[in-house]
Amino acid sequence: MLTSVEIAALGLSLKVALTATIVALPFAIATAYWLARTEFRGKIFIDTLIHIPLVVPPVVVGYLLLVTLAPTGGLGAWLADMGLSPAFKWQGAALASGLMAFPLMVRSIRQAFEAEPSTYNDVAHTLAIPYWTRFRRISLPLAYSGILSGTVLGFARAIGEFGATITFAANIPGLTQTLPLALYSAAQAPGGEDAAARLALLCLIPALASLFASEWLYRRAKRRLGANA
Amino acid sequence: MTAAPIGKVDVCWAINGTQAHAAFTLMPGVTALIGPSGAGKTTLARILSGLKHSASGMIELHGKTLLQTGVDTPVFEKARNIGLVMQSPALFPTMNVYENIMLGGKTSPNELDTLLEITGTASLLERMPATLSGGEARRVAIVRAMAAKPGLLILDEPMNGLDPKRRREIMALVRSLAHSSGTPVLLITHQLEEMLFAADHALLINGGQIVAAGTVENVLTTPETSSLLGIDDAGSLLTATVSGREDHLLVTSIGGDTLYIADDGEPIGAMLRLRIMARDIALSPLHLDGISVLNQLQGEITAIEHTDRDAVIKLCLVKSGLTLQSRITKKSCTAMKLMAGNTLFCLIKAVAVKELISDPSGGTESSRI
Repeated sequence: MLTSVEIAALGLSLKVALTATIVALPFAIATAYWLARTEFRGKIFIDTLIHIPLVVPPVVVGYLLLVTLAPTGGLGAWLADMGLSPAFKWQGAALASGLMAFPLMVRSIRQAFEAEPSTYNDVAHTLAIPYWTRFRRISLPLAYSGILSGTVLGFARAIGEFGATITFAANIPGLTQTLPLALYSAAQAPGGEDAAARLALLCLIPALASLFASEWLYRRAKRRLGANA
Repeated sequence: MTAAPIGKVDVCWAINGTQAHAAFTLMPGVTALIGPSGAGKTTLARILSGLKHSASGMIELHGKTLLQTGVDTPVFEKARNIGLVMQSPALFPTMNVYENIMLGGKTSPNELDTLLEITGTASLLERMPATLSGGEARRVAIVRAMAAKPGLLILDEPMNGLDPKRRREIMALVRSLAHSSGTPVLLITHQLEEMLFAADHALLINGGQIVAAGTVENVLTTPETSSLLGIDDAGSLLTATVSGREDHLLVTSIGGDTLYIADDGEPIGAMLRLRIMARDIALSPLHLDGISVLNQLQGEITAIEHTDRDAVIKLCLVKSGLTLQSRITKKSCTAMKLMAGNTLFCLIKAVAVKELISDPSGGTESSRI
Protein backbone atom coordinates (compact mmCIF):
# COMPACT_ATOMS: atom_id res chain seq x y z
CA MET A 1 0.00 0.00 0.00
CA LEU A 2 1.01 3.61 -0.44
CA THR A 3 2.75 5.45 2.36
CA SER A 4 1.43 8.76 3.63
CA VAL A 5 4.32 10.58 1.90
CA GLU A 6 3.46 8.91 -1.38
CA ILE A 7 -0.25 9.66 -1.04
CA ALA A 8 0.51 13.30 -0.19
CA ALA A 9 2.89 13.64 -3.16
CA LEU A 10 0.45 11.96 -5.57
CA GLY A 11 -2.48 14.07 -4.38
CA LEU A 12 -0.45 17.26 -4.56
CA SER A 13 0.90 16.39 -8.00
CA LEU A 14 -2.63 15.84 -9.34
CA LYS A 15 -3.88 19.07 -7.74
CA VAL A 16 -0.95 21.09 -9.09
CA ALA A 17 -1.01 19.60 -12.60
CA LEU A 18 -4.80 19.77 -12.97
CA THR A 19 -4.91 23.37 -11.75
CA ALA A 20 -2.01 24.33 -14.02
CA THR A 21 -3.63 22.68 -17.07
CA ILE A 22 -7.16 23.93 -16.47
CA VAL A 23 -6.06 27.51 -15.84
CA ALA A 24 -3.61 27.54 -18.76
CA LEU A 25 -6.01 25.95 -21.26
CA PRO A 26 -8.27 28.94 -22.10
CA PHE A 27 -5.21 31.19 -22.41
CA ALA A 28 -3.50 28.61 -24.61
CA ILE A 29 -6.58 28.31 -26.86
CA ALA A 30 -6.93 32.08 -27.17
CA THR A 31 -3.22 32.56 -27.88
CA ALA A 32 -3.14 29.70 -30.37
CA TYR A 33 -6.18 31.05 -32.25
CA TRP A 34 -4.75 34.54 -32.28
CA LEU A 35 -1.40 33.34 -33.64
CA ALA A 36 -3.03 31.00 -36.17
CA ARG A 37 -5.45 33.57 -37.58
CA THR A 38 -3.79 36.95 -37.51
CA GLU A 39 -0.74 38.49 -39.08
CA PHE A 40 0.75 41.49 -37.34
CA ARG A 41 4.04 43.26 -36.83
CA GLY A 42 5.98 41.73 -33.99
CA LYS A 43 4.25 38.35 -34.26
CA ILE A 44 7.63 36.61 -34.33
CA PHE A 45 8.54 38.37 -31.08
CA ILE A 46 5.37 37.17 -29.32
CA ASP A 47 5.92 33.69 -30.76
CA THR A 48 9.47 33.60 -29.39
CA LEU A 49 8.40 34.89 -26.00
CA ILE A 50 5.79 32.15 -25.62
CA HIS A 51 8.34 29.48 -26.51
CA ILE A 52 11.02 30.62 -24.06
CA PRO A 53 10.09 28.03 -21.37
CA LEU A 54 10.62 25.28 -23.97
CA VAL A 55 14.19 26.28 -24.75
CA VAL A 56 15.67 27.65 -21.54
CA PRO A 57 16.53 25.38 -18.57
CA PRO A 58 13.41 25.12 -16.35
CA VAL A 59 15.43 26.37 -13.43
CA VAL A 60 15.77 29.70 -15.23
CA VAL A 61 11.99 30.00 -15.44
CA GLY A 62 11.77 29.18 -11.72
CA TYR A 63 14.41 31.75 -10.98
CA LEU A 64 12.64 34.44 -13.02
CA LEU A 65 9.41 33.66 -11.19
CA LEU A 66 11.22 33.91 -7.89
CA VAL A 67 12.78 37.23 -8.82
CA THR A 68 9.45 38.61 -9.99
CA LEU A 69 7.08 37.17 -7.43
CA ALA A 70 9.09 36.52 -4.24
CA PRO A 71 7.51 38.39 -1.34
CA THR A 72 10.67 40.39 -0.82
CA GLY A 73 9.97 43.13 -3.29
CA GLY A 74 7.94 44.72 -6.08
CA LEU A 75 5.00 42.78 -7.43
CA GLY A 76 5.71 39.88 -5.04
CA ALA A 77 5.52 42.15 -1.99
CA TRP A 78 2.24 43.64 -3.19
CA LEU A 79 0.80 40.16 -3.74
CA ALA A 80 2.05 39.12 -0.28
CA ASP A 81 0.29 42.13 1.24
CA MET A 82 -2.92 41.00 -0.45
CA GLY A 83 -2.31 37.48 0.86
CA LEU A 84 -1.90 36.15 -2.68
CA SER A 85 1.82 35.40 -2.83
CA PRO A 86 2.34 32.12 -4.68
CA ALA A 87 5.97 31.56 -3.73
CA PHE A 88 6.61 28.44 -1.64
CA LYS A 89 2.97 27.37 -1.92
CA TRP A 90 1.22 24.72 -4.05
CA GLN A 91 -0.23 27.59 -6.11
CA GLY A 92 3.36 28.55 -6.92
CA ALA A 93 4.06 25.00 -8.03
CA ALA A 94 0.93 25.20 -10.24
CA LEU A 95 2.07 28.53 -11.69
CA ALA A 96 5.53 27.18 -12.48
CA SER A 97 4.09 23.99 -14.01
CA GLY A 98 1.49 25.91 -16.00
CA LEU A 99 4.11 28.23 -17.41
CA MET A 100 6.28 25.30 -18.48
CA ALA A 101 3.29 23.49 -20.04
CA PHE A 102 1.93 26.59 -21.80
CA PRO A 103 4.14 26.60 -24.95
CA LEU A 104 3.50 22.90 -25.57
CA MET A 105 -0.23 23.48 -25.32
CA VAL A 106 -0.12 26.52 -27.62
CA ARG A 107 1.95 24.67 -30.23
CA SER A 108 -0.36 21.71 -30.43
CA ILE A 109 -3.58 23.74 -30.43
CA ARG A 110 -2.23 26.26 -32.93
CA GLN A 111 -1.40 23.49 -35.38
CA ALA A 112 -4.98 22.26 -35.12
CA PHE A 113 -6.37 25.75 -35.85
CA GLU A 114 -3.97 26.16 -38.77
CA ALA A 115 -5.07 22.81 -40.21
CA GLU A 116 -8.63 24.07 -40.64
CA PRO A 117 -9.22 24.57 -44.39
CA SER A 118 -9.45 28.26 -45.27
CA THR A 119 -12.60 27.49 -47.28
CA TYR A 120 -14.63 27.21 -44.06
CA ASN A 121 -13.57 30.69 -43.13
CA ASP A 122 -14.38 32.00 -46.62
CA VAL A 123 -17.83 30.43 -46.61
CA ALA A 124 -18.49 31.70 -43.08
CA HIS A 125 -17.53 35.21 -44.26
CA THR A 126 -19.92 35.14 -47.20
CA LEU A 127 -22.70 33.77 -44.97
CA ALA A 128 -22.07 36.66 -42.57
CA ILE A 129 -21.62 34.30 -39.61
CA PRO A 130 -20.40 36.33 -36.60
CA TYR A 131 -16.79 35.86 -35.53
CA TRP A 132 -17.61 34.36 -32.13
CA THR A 133 -20.14 31.90 -33.61
CA ARG A 134 -17.58 30.89 -36.22
CA PHE A 135 -15.01 30.21 -33.50
CA ARG A 136 -17.43 28.39 -31.21
CA ARG A 137 -19.29 26.29 -33.79
CA ILE A 138 -16.61 25.61 -36.41
CA SER A 139 -13.00 26.26 -35.39
CA LEU A 140 -13.18 25.07 -31.80
CA PRO A 141 -14.88 21.71 -32.46
CA LEU A 142 -12.63 21.12 -35.49
CA ALA A 143 -9.55 21.70 -33.34
CA TYR A 144 -10.87 19.32 -30.70
CA SER A 145 -8.24 16.62 -31.20
CA GLY A 146 -5.44 19.22 -31.20
CA ILE A 147 -6.83 20.80 -28.03
CA LEU A 148 -7.07 17.36 -26.48
CA SER A 149 -3.52 16.39 -27.31
CA GLY A 150 -2.30 19.83 -26.22
CA THR A 151 -4.09 19.37 -22.92
CA VAL A 152 -2.65 15.90 -22.37
CA LEU A 153 0.83 17.10 -23.32
CA GLY A 154 0.44 20.08 -21.01
CA PHE A 155 -0.82 17.89 -18.16
CA ALA A 156 2.04 15.44 -18.63
CA ARG A 157 4.52 18.31 -18.71
CA ALA A 158 2.96 19.87 -15.60
CA ILE A 159 2.92 16.66 -13.59
CA GLY A 160 6.54 15.94 -14.50
CA GLU A 161 7.71 19.49 -13.84
CA PHE A 162 10.75 19.66 -11.60
CA GLY A 163 13.28 22.45 -12.15
CA ALA A 164 11.02 25.50 -12.17
CA THR A 165 8.92 24.11 -9.30
CA ILE A 166 11.80 23.34 -6.96
CA THR A 167 13.32 26.75 -7.64
CA PHE A 168 10.15 28.79 -7.20
CA ALA A 169 8.00 26.72 -4.82
CA ALA A 170 10.78 24.75 -3.06
CA ASN A 171 10.55 21.12 -1.94
CA ILE A 172 8.35 21.19 1.18
CA PRO A 173 6.73 17.82 1.98
CA GLY A 174 2.95 18.06 2.10
CA LEU A 175 3.02 21.62 0.78
CA THR A 176 4.94 21.80 -2.48
CA GLN A 177 6.54 18.37 -2.74
CA THR A 178 5.07 16.86 -5.90
CA LEU A 179 5.93 13.33 -7.10
CA PRO A 180 9.12 14.25 -9.00
CA LEU A 181 10.32 16.30 -6.03
CA ALA A 182 9.58 13.45 -3.61
CA LEU A 183 11.42 11.09 -5.95
CA TYR A 184 14.38 13.45 -6.01
CA SER A 185 14.42 13.63 -2.19
CA ALA A 186 14.18 9.84 -1.86
CA ALA A 187 16.95 9.29 -4.38
CA GLN A 188 19.16 11.74 -2.50
CA ALA A 189 18.52 10.15 0.92
CA PRO A 190 20.80 7.27 2.02
CA GLY A 191 18.95 3.94 1.68
CA GLY A 192 16.08 5.57 -0.21
CA GLU A 193 16.39 3.36 -3.32
CA ASP A 194 13.21 1.36 -2.65
CA ALA A 195 11.17 4.48 -1.92
CA ALA A 196 12.54 6.11 -5.09
CA ALA A 197 11.60 3.07 -7.19
CA ARG A 198 8.05 3.06 -5.77
CA LEU A 199 7.68 6.80 -6.50
CA ALA A 200 9.00 6.31 -10.02
CA LEU A 201 6.33 3.65 -10.62
CA LEU A 202 3.73 5.94 -9.08
CA CYS A 203 4.59 8.63 -11.63
CA LEU A 204 3.24 6.30 -14.31
CA ILE A 205 -0.32 6.26 -12.91
CA PRO A 206 -1.43 9.80 -13.84
CA ALA A 207 0.54 9.65 -17.10
CA LEU A 208 -1.17 6.46 -18.26
CA ALA A 209 -4.58 7.60 -17.01
CA SER A 210 -4.35 10.83 -19.00
CA LEU A 211 -3.28 8.99 -22.16
CA PHE A 212 -6.20 6.56 -21.87
CA ALA A 213 -8.64 9.38 -21.23
CA SER A 214 -7.44 11.36 -24.21
CA GLU A 215 -7.61 8.35 -26.53
CA TRP A 216 -11.16 7.61 -25.41
CA LEU A 217 -12.27 11.23 -25.91
CA TYR A 218 -10.54 11.39 -29.30
CA ARG A 219 -12.34 8.28 -30.55
CA ARG A 220 -15.66 9.61 -29.34
CA ALA A 221 -15.10 12.91 -31.18
CA LYS A 222 -14.10 11.09 -34.34
CA ARG A 223 -17.28 9.02 -34.26
CA ARG A 224 -19.35 12.18 -33.96
CA LEU A 225 -17.70 13.94 -36.93
CA GLY A 226 -17.69 10.84 -39.15
CA ALA A 227 -14.92 9.15 -41.03
CA ASN A 228 -13.56 12.21 -42.84
CA ALA A 229 -13.13 14.46 -39.85
CA MET B 1 -33.68 38.32 -73.15
CA THR B 2 -34.41 41.99 -72.80
CA ALA B 3 -34.32 42.29 -69.00
CA ALA B 4 -32.42 45.18 -67.43
CA PRO B 5 -28.97 44.56 -65.95
CA ILE B 6 -28.87 43.96 -62.20
CA GLY B 7 -25.31 45.07 -61.67
CA LYS B 8 -22.14 46.53 -63.12
CA VAL B 9 -18.58 45.43 -62.56
CA ASP B 10 -15.40 47.20 -63.60
CA VAL B 11 -12.44 45.95 -61.58
CA CYS B 12 -8.66 45.71 -61.91
CA TRP B 13 -6.31 43.36 -60.13
CA ALA B 14 -2.84 41.97 -60.56
CA ILE B 15 -2.51 38.57 -62.20
CA ASN B 16 0.98 37.06 -62.39
CA GLY B 17 2.58 40.49 -62.40
CA THR B 18 0.33 41.94 -65.10
CA GLN B 19 -2.79 44.01 -64.68
CA ALA B 20 -6.12 42.29 -65.25
CA HIS B 21 -9.21 44.34 -65.99
CA ALA B 22 -12.70 42.91 -66.17
CA ALA B 23 -15.68 45.07 -67.07
CA PHE B 24 -19.18 43.71 -67.66
CA THR B 25 -22.83 44.06 -66.73
CA LEU B 26 -24.62 41.38 -64.74
CA MET B 27 -27.95 40.17 -66.06
CA PRO B 28 -30.78 38.39 -64.26
CA GLY B 29 -31.04 34.60 -64.57
CA VAL B 30 -27.98 32.41 -64.88
CA THR B 31 -24.80 33.95 -66.29
CA ALA B 32 -21.89 31.66 -67.09
CA LEU B 33 -18.40 33.04 -66.49
CA ILE B 34 -16.48 30.73 -68.77
CA GLY B 35 -12.83 30.54 -69.67
CA PRO B 36 -9.80 28.27 -69.66
CA SER B 37 -7.95 27.38 -66.47
CA GLY B 38 -5.95 30.30 -65.09
CA ALA B 39 -8.14 32.88 -66.85
CA GLY B 40 -8.93 34.62 -63.56
CA LYS B 41 -12.42 33.21 -62.96
CA THR B 42 -11.97 32.24 -59.32
CA THR B 43 -10.07 35.45 -58.55
CA LEU B 44 -12.94 37.46 -60.01
CA ALA B 45 -15.41 35.48 -57.88
CA ARG B 46 -13.36 36.26 -54.77
CA ILE B 47 -13.21 39.94 -55.69
CA LEU B 48 -16.98 40.08 -56.20
CA SER B 49 -17.74 38.30 -52.94
CA GLY B 50 -15.28 40.51 -51.04
CA LEU B 51 -12.84 37.76 -50.08
CA LYS B 52 -10.04 39.35 -52.09
CA HIS B 53 -9.43 42.93 -51.11
CA SER B 54 -6.54 43.82 -53.38
CA ALA B 55 -8.71 44.91 -56.31
CA SER B 56 -9.62 48.38 -57.41
CA GLY B 57 -12.52 49.69 -59.47
CA MET B 58 -16.26 49.58 -59.10
CA ILE B 59 -18.84 46.93 -58.24
CA GLU B 60 -22.53 47.77 -58.20
CA LEU B 61 -25.29 45.27 -57.44
CA HIS B 62 -29.03 45.98 -57.26
CA GLY B 63 -28.29 49.70 -57.15
CA LYS B 64 -25.92 49.39 -54.20
CA THR B 65 -22.24 50.27 -54.53
CA LEU B 66 -20.14 47.44 -53.10
CA LEU B 67 -16.77 48.76 -54.18
CA GLN B 68 -15.67 52.12 -55.47
CA THR B 69 -12.00 52.81 -55.19
CA GLY B 70 -11.09 56.21 -53.84
CA VAL B 71 -14.64 57.33 -53.16
CA ASP B 72 -16.18 55.14 -50.49
CA THR B 73 -15.06 52.56 -48.01
CA PRO B 74 -15.67 49.27 -49.77
CA VAL B 75 -18.51 47.17 -48.41
CA PHE B 76 -16.87 44.14 -46.89
CA GLU B 77 -17.95 40.59 -47.51
CA LYS B 78 -20.41 40.40 -44.63
CA ALA B 79 -22.56 43.21 -45.93
CA ARG B 80 -22.25 42.34 -49.61
CA ASN B 81 -24.88 39.64 -49.43
CA ILE B 82 -23.22 37.63 -52.17
CA GLY B 83 -23.39 33.86 -51.76
CA LEU B 84 -20.43 31.79 -52.84
CA VAL B 85 -20.34 28.06 -53.40
CA MET B 86 -16.79 26.94 -54.03
CA GLN B 87 -15.33 23.99 -55.89
CA SER B 88 -15.29 22.06 -52.64
CA PRO B 89 -18.68 22.14 -50.90
CA ALA B 90 -16.94 23.17 -47.63
CA LEU B 91 -19.81 22.01 -45.43
CA PHE B 92 -18.88 22.56 -41.79
CA PRO B 93 -18.07 19.02 -40.62
CA THR B 94 -18.87 19.85 -37.02
CA MET B 95 -22.61 20.15 -37.55
CA ASN B 96 -25.36 18.33 -39.40
CA VAL B 97 -26.94 19.47 -42.67
CA TYR B 98 -29.74 21.41 -40.99
CA GLU B 99 -27.32 23.27 -38.72
CA ASN B 100 -25.09 23.99 -41.71
CA ILE B 101 -28.01 25.55 -43.55
CA MET B 102 -29.37 27.51 -40.61
CA LEU B 103 -26.08 28.88 -39.27
CA GLY B 104 -26.23 31.76 -41.74
CA GLY B 105 -29.80 31.16 -42.94
CA LYS B 106 -32.34 33.96 -43.17
CA THR B 107 -35.20 32.05 -44.77
CA SER B 108 -38.62 31.55 -43.24
CA PRO B 109 -39.61 27.92 -42.53
CA ASN B 110 -41.84 27.95 -45.64
CA GLU B 111 -39.09 29.29 -47.88
CA LEU B 112 -36.71 26.69 -46.49
CA ASP B 113 -39.21 23.91 -47.18
CA THR B 114 -39.50 25.06 -50.79
CA LEU B 115 -35.73 25.23 -51.13
CA LEU B 116 -35.34 21.74 -49.68
CA GLU B 117 -38.04 20.38 -51.97
CA ILE B 118 -36.56 21.86 -55.16
CA THR B 119 -33.12 20.56 -54.29
CA GLY B 120 -34.27 17.20 -52.95
CA THR B 121 -32.34 17.66 -49.72
CA ALA B 122 -35.19 17.40 -47.19
CA SER B 123 -34.22 13.84 -46.26
CA LEU B 124 -30.61 14.82 -45.57
CA LEU B 125 -31.19 17.31 -42.75
CA GLU B 126 -30.10 15.05 -39.90
CA ARG B 127 -27.05 13.70 -41.71
CA MET B 128 -23.47 14.73 -40.95
CA PRO B 129 -21.51 16.11 -43.95
CA ALA B 130 -19.02 13.22 -43.89
CA THR B 131 -21.83 10.79 -44.70
CA LEU B 132 -23.04 12.64 -47.82
CA SER B 133 -22.15 11.71 -51.39
CA GLY B 134 -20.41 14.28 -53.61
CA GLY B 135 -23.66 15.26 -55.35
CA GLU B 136 -25.59 15.52 -52.10
CA ALA B 137 -22.88 17.70 -50.55
CA ARG B 138 -22.96 20.08 -53.55
CA ARG B 139 -26.73 20.38 -53.32
CA VAL B 140 -26.56 21.10 -49.59
CA ALA B 141 -23.84 23.71 -50.19
CA ILE B 142 -26.12 25.42 -52.73
CA VAL B 143 -29.07 25.30 -50.32
CA ARG B 144 -26.90 26.75 -47.56
CA ALA B 145 -25.87 29.67 -49.77
CA MET B 146 -29.45 30.23 -50.98
CA ALA B 147 -30.83 30.10 -47.42
CA ALA B 148 -28.85 33.28 -46.67
CA LYS B 149 -30.99 35.01 -49.34
CA PRO B 150 -28.11 36.37 -51.41
CA GLY B 151 -28.52 39.20 -53.89
CA LEU B 152 -26.21 37.23 -56.19
CA LEU B 153 -25.18 33.60 -55.97
CA ILE B 154 -21.74 32.73 -57.30
CA LEU B 155 -21.12 29.08 -58.06
CA ASP B 156 -17.44 28.36 -58.64
CA GLU B 157 -17.28 25.17 -60.68
CA PRO B 158 -19.79 23.42 -58.42
CA MET B 159 -19.87 20.33 -60.62
CA ASN B 160 -16.17 19.48 -60.51
CA GLY B 161 -15.54 15.83 -59.81
CA LEU B 162 -19.14 14.73 -60.33
CA ASP B 163 -20.25 12.07 -62.80
CA PRO B 164 -22.27 13.19 -65.87
CA LYS B 165 -25.64 12.29 -64.34
CA ARG B 166 -24.96 14.28 -61.17
CA ARG B 167 -23.66 17.18 -63.27
CA ARG B 168 -26.93 17.26 -65.19
CA GLU B 169 -28.86 17.25 -61.92
CA ILE B 170 -26.88 20.15 -60.52
CA MET B 171 -27.17 22.13 -63.77
CA ALA B 172 -30.96 21.63 -63.76
CA LEU B 173 -31.04 22.61 -60.10
CA VAL B 174 -29.07 25.82 -60.67
CA ARG B 175 -31.38 26.89 -63.44
CA SER B 176 -34.46 25.95 -61.56
CA LEU B 177 -33.37 27.79 -58.40
CA ALA B 178 -32.37 30.91 -60.30
CA HIS B 179 -35.68 31.11 -62.11
CA SER B 180 -37.95 30.14 -59.23
CA SER B 181 -36.32 32.41 -56.64
CA GLY B 182 -35.35 35.27 -58.92
CA THR B 183 -31.81 35.16 -57.50
CA PRO B 184 -29.26 35.95 -60.20
CA VAL B 185 -26.55 33.31 -60.49
CA LEU B 186 -23.00 33.64 -61.75
CA LEU B 187 -21.88 30.16 -62.75
CA ILE B 188 -18.12 29.84 -63.07
CA THR B 189 -17.03 27.04 -65.35
CA HIS B 190 -14.51 25.94 -67.92
CA GLN B 191 -16.93 23.41 -69.42
CA LEU B 192 -18.92 24.45 -72.46
CA GLU B 193 -21.55 21.87 -71.55
CA GLU B 194 -22.34 23.62 -68.26
CA MET B 195 -22.78 26.96 -70.00
CA LEU B 196 -25.09 25.42 -72.64
CA PHE B 197 -27.17 23.45 -70.16
CA ALA B 198 -27.62 26.05 -67.45
CA ALA B 199 -26.94 29.62 -68.52
CA ASP B 200 -28.96 32.38 -70.15
CA HIS B 201 -26.01 34.72 -70.57
CA ALA B 202 -22.28 34.19 -70.78
CA LEU B 203 -19.06 36.08 -70.15
CA LEU B 204 -15.95 34.66 -71.79
CA ILE B 205 -12.85 35.47 -69.78
CA ASN B 206 -9.19 35.07 -70.65
CA GLY B 207 -6.12 36.54 -68.98
CA GLY B 208 -8.36 38.49 -66.62
CA GLN B 209 -10.17 40.22 -69.50
CA ILE B 210 -13.78 39.70 -70.58
CA VAL B 211 -13.35 38.92 -74.28
CA ALA B 212 -16.97 38.18 -75.16
CA ALA B 213 -20.28 38.82 -73.44
CA GLY B 214 -23.92 38.37 -74.33
CA THR B 215 -26.49 35.65 -74.66
CA VAL B 216 -25.24 32.08 -74.62
CA GLU B 217 -26.13 31.80 -78.33
CA ASN B 218 -23.95 34.79 -79.18
CA VAL B 219 -21.01 33.82 -77.02
CA LEU B 220 -21.07 30.26 -78.35
CA THR B 221 -20.69 31.39 -81.94
CA THR B 222 -17.92 33.90 -81.16
CA PRO B 223 -14.66 32.62 -82.70
CA GLU B 224 -12.75 33.38 -79.44
CA THR B 225 -14.97 30.91 -77.59
CA SER B 226 -14.02 28.08 -79.94
CA SER B 227 -10.32 28.88 -79.86
CA LEU B 228 -10.06 29.43 -76.08
CA LEU B 229 -12.12 26.41 -75.10
CA GLY B 230 -10.72 24.21 -77.86
CA ILE B 231 -14.11 23.58 -79.44
CA ASP B 232 -13.96 21.81 -82.76
CA ASP B 233 -17.62 22.30 -83.68
CA ALA B 234 -19.57 24.90 -81.74
CA GLY B 235 -22.70 24.34 -83.82
CA SER B 236 -25.81 26.45 -83.49
CA LEU B 237 -28.19 27.05 -80.60
CA LEU B 238 -31.88 27.46 -81.33
CA THR B 239 -34.81 28.24 -79.09
CA ALA B 240 -37.86 26.21 -80.08
CA THR B 241 -41.42 25.87 -78.78
CA VAL B 242 -43.08 22.47 -78.60
CA SER B 243 -46.19 22.72 -80.77
CA GLY B 244 -47.33 19.09 -81.03
CA ARG B 245 -46.55 15.37 -81.26
CA GLU B 246 -46.45 13.12 -84.30
CA ASP B 247 -45.35 9.48 -84.63
CA HIS B 248 -43.21 9.49 -81.47
CA LEU B 249 -41.62 12.78 -82.47
CA LEU B 250 -41.95 16.26 -81.06
CA VAL B 251 -43.04 18.93 -83.48
CA THR B 252 -41.34 22.17 -82.56
CA SER B 253 -41.54 25.59 -84.01
CA ILE B 254 -38.50 27.79 -84.57
CA GLY B 255 -39.65 31.09 -85.95
CA GLY B 256 -41.73 30.15 -88.99
CA ASP B 257 -40.00 26.80 -89.49
CA THR B 258 -40.97 23.42 -88.13
CA LEU B 259 -38.35 21.12 -86.67
CA TYR B 260 -38.97 17.49 -85.74
CA ILE B 261 -36.96 16.17 -82.83
CA ALA B 262 -36.89 13.09 -80.60
CA ASP B 263 -39.72 13.03 -78.03
CA ASP B 264 -38.48 13.01 -74.46
CA GLY B 265 -41.91 13.77 -73.02
CA GLU B 266 -41.80 17.56 -72.98
CA PRO B 267 -45.20 19.22 -72.61
CA ILE B 268 -46.82 21.19 -75.44
CA GLY B 269 -45.84 24.84 -75.09
CA ALA B 270 -42.48 24.10 -73.45
CA MET B 271 -39.54 26.21 -74.55
CA LEU B 272 -36.51 24.17 -75.57
CA ARG B 273 -32.90 25.08 -76.15
CA LEU B 274 -31.58 22.93 -78.97
CA ARG B 275 -28.08 22.46 -80.29
CA ILE B 276 -27.31 21.31 -83.79
CA MET B 277 -23.69 20.54 -84.60
CA ALA B 278 -22.40 21.97 -87.86
CA ARG B 279 -21.26 18.51 -88.99
CA ASP B 280 -24.85 17.20 -88.60
CA ILE B 281 -26.28 19.57 -91.22
CA ALA B 282 -26.09 18.41 -94.86
CA LEU B 283 -26.91 20.79 -97.72
CA SER B 284 -28.97 20.22 -100.83
CA PRO B 285 -29.99 22.61 -103.64
CA LEU B 286 -33.40 20.89 -103.80
CA HIS B 287 -36.02 19.66 -101.34
CA LEU B 288 -35.56 15.89 -101.33
CA ASP B 289 -38.53 13.56 -101.10
CA GLY B 290 -38.32 9.93 -100.10
CA ILE B 291 -35.29 10.20 -97.82
CA SER B 292 -35.07 9.55 -94.10
CA VAL B 293 -34.11 13.10 -93.13
CA LEU B 294 -37.27 14.75 -91.78
CA ASN B 295 -36.10 18.31 -91.39
CA GLN B 296 -35.37 20.24 -94.58
CA LEU B 297 -35.20 23.95 -93.79
CA GLN B 298 -34.61 26.51 -96.50
CA GLY B 299 -31.80 28.98 -95.89
CA GLU B 300 -29.61 31.47 -97.67
CA ILE B 301 -25.82 31.39 -97.48
CA THR B 302 -24.50 34.48 -95.69
CA ALA B 303 -20.82 33.51 -95.53
CA ILE B 304 -18.42 30.69 -96.28
CA GLU B 305 -15.33 30.14 -94.13
CA HIS B 306 -12.64 27.79 -95.33
CA THR B 307 -10.54 25.89 -92.84
CA ASP B 308 -7.57 23.60 -93.61
CA ARG B 309 -9.77 20.60 -94.21
CA ASP B 310 -13.33 21.75 -94.77
CA ALA B 311 -15.72 24.64 -95.27
CA VAL B 312 -18.13 26.16 -92.75
CA ILE B 313 -21.23 27.48 -94.45
CA LYS B 314 -23.23 30.07 -92.53
CA LEU B 315 -26.88 30.23 -93.43
CA CYS B 316 -29.84 32.39 -92.55
CA LEU B 317 -33.15 30.47 -92.49
CA VAL B 318 -35.60 31.98 -94.95
CA LYS B 319 -38.72 31.79 -92.76
CA SER B 320 -37.34 32.52 -89.31
CA GLY B 321 -34.21 34.54 -89.99
CA LEU B 322 -32.30 32.27 -87.57
CA THR B 323 -28.71 31.37 -88.34
CA LEU B 324 -27.29 27.87 -88.75
CA GLN B 325 -23.82 26.58 -89.53
CA SER B 326 -23.08 23.60 -91.73
CA ARG B 327 -19.66 22.01 -92.04
CA ILE B 328 -19.01 20.19 -95.29
CA THR B 329 -15.89 19.06 -97.14
CA LYS B 330 -14.08 21.44 -99.45
CA LYS B 331 -14.72 18.96 -102.23
CA SER B 332 -18.52 19.22 -101.75
CA CYS B 333 -18.29 22.99 -101.49
CA THR B 334 -16.44 23.17 -104.81
CA ALA B 335 -18.65 20.60 -106.53
CA MET B 336 -21.84 22.45 -105.49
CA LYS B 337 -20.27 25.79 -106.51
CA LEU B 338 -21.52 27.34 -103.27
CA MET B 339 -21.31 31.07 -102.77
CA ALA B 340 -22.93 33.71 -100.58
CA GLY B 341 -26.53 34.42 -101.58
CA ASN B 342 -27.28 30.84 -102.74
CA THR B 343 -30.51 29.37 -101.38
CA LEU B 344 -30.24 25.79 -100.14
CA PHE B 345 -32.05 23.24 -98.01
CA CYS B 346 -30.44 22.35 -94.67
CA LEU B 347 -30.99 18.63 -94.04
CA ILE B 348 -31.09 17.87 -90.31
CA LYS B 349 -31.83 14.41 -88.90
CA ALA B 350 -34.32 14.58 -86.04
CA VAL B 351 -32.08 12.37 -83.92
CA ALA B 352 -29.10 14.70 -84.44
CA VAL B 353 -30.80 17.58 -82.62
CA LYS B 354 -29.66 17.71 -79.02
CA GLU B 355 -32.03 19.08 -76.43
CA LEU B 356 -30.20 21.08 -73.77
CA ILE B 357 -32.86 22.81 -71.72
CA SER B 358 -36.58 22.41 -71.40
CA ASP B 359 -38.58 25.11 -69.64
CA PRO B 360 -42.08 23.58 -69.31
CA SER B 361 -43.84 26.88 -68.68
CA GLY B 362 -42.17 28.76 -71.45
CA GLY B 363 -38.95 29.80 -69.77
CA THR B 364 -40.19 31.88 -66.88
CA GLU B 365 -40.50 29.28 -64.15
CA SER B 366 -38.56 26.20 -63.22
CA SER B 367 -36.78 24.17 -65.82
CA ARG B 368 -36.08 20.54 -66.40
CA ILE B 369 -33.38 18.80 -68.33
